[in-house]
Amino acid sequence: MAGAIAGALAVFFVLSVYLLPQSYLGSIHPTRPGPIVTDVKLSQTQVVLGESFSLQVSATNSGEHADMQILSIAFPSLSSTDGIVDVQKHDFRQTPLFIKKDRAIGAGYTAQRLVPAQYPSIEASNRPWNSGETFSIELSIKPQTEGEFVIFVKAVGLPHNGDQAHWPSNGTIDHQDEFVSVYSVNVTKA
Amino acid sequence: MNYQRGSLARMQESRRLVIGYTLVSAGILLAASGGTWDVTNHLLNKPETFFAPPHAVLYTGVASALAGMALVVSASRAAGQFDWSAKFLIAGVALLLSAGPVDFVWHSTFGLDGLLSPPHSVLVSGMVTSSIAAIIGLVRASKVLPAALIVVAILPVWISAAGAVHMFSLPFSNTAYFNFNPHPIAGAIVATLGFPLITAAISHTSSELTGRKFGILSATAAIFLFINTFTSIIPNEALVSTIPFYIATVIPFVVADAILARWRSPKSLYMAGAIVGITFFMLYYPLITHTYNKVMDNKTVWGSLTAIIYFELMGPLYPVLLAPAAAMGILGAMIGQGMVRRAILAGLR
Repeated sequence: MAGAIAGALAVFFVLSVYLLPQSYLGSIHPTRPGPIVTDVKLSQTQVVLGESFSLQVSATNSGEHADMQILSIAFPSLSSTDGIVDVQKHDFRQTPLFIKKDRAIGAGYTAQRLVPAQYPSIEASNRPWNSGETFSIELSIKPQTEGEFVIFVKAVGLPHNGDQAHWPSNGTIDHQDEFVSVYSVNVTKA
Repeated sequence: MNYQRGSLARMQESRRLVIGYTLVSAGILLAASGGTWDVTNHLLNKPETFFAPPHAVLYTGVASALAGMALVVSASRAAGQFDWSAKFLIAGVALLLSAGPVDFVWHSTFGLDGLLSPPHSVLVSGMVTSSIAAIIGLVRASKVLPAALIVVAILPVWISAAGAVHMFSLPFSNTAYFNFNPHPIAGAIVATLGFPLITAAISHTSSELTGRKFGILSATAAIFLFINTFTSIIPNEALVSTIPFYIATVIPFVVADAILARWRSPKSLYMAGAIVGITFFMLYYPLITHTYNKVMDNKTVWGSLTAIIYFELMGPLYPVLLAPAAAMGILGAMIGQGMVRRAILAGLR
């Protein structure tokens, strides 16, 4: 009896503390998401002050399953989106979030490093975002000052484990130390 | 004749008490399992509605507990005797029911809540209180408690007590208004001491209630593992391949069960307690990953990375946890044995 008990315990500890963990660590690989912004449509590239324009952005995951994928649209020329940017429609599973200026946000594609947001943005995300799924968001934007109205667009897949997990892969760096694609609309006097 | 009628009435009241307490136990088992399932779905951010399956399981459980309490109250009234387990049960179910309105007010005022919040604390306190009251009531109302009933009565105590330890150790309570997250080291200490203690106390209680007959402790642990597999592992596809690892955790419980059944010395109690205590790191997988990751690596524990992070933590962490877990397991075993002896003595009186 005592021998059987000792044997069963030995089998358990060898199995659960050594063999199975080693086997799982060798066989389970982190998923590799591949976010891509597939379409950015501006209704016009020039607007008269007081008029609004629409921005439609679509993104997909061309890689493996993402635990979370974020499509971010930021407005570096604004200090607040109140009364300027509205979500017209979207098909994301989670409601898009307005990120206010000065809020602590992750940087360098990680949540461990936090920085204050220097300008507002909208984050549309899905948790999870499966491989091959495409989602879109349409915004209505009414600039309140003349000049160039700048928009930053990027997509990040999580877990972020390589260059394939963000879009774009190069270009302008934003306040989060992450690459963005830049779009602009020229706002003229009425 | 009158004597026979009185005896029959007592038997009927006793039967109603047993049915009532069983309904409470089964209800809390459902509610606590639904709660664990809900935590997993929140972690995975699965879309949630009022009638989401985990919520439906939870509400069904609360309804069953309420029906059970009504039966216990009616049987106690008929008997003209409200013993303290019935009073304790009323307090537990009252806490359980009040958690609903408290949760509504909290959500209306502060939006989303974390795992540790006043409404959730009320809910878990209600589950722990009701399930303990139900098992004590069963022991007192039934001369011989059938084995299946012991399992049904002990599991809700185990799952709700584990929920309470998770609540004070997991880093899931930082919201827009409040940060109730425990300090990472405090969370790890609560988990390292709390989980082995409750595991050993509860599993030993199940064994002691049958006079240490082999099988009950193993069956209780097997069903606990089965429920956790369904509520915490299967909802996350990335963890499904680790089910064999999780199910293997039944082995030390069978071993502890065999030790308790074969030997009656205090040493056997300590040994079984220590064995059960040191398996807590496997038993409370995968949620426990979040608690210890916060102290060790502080990585973001995405659903697809949970197993990898857990197995990476195991190497450096598990040897350090062995001594305190074994000590708490021994203490838990002594508590379990003591509680059963006191409950049986109280029942005899």
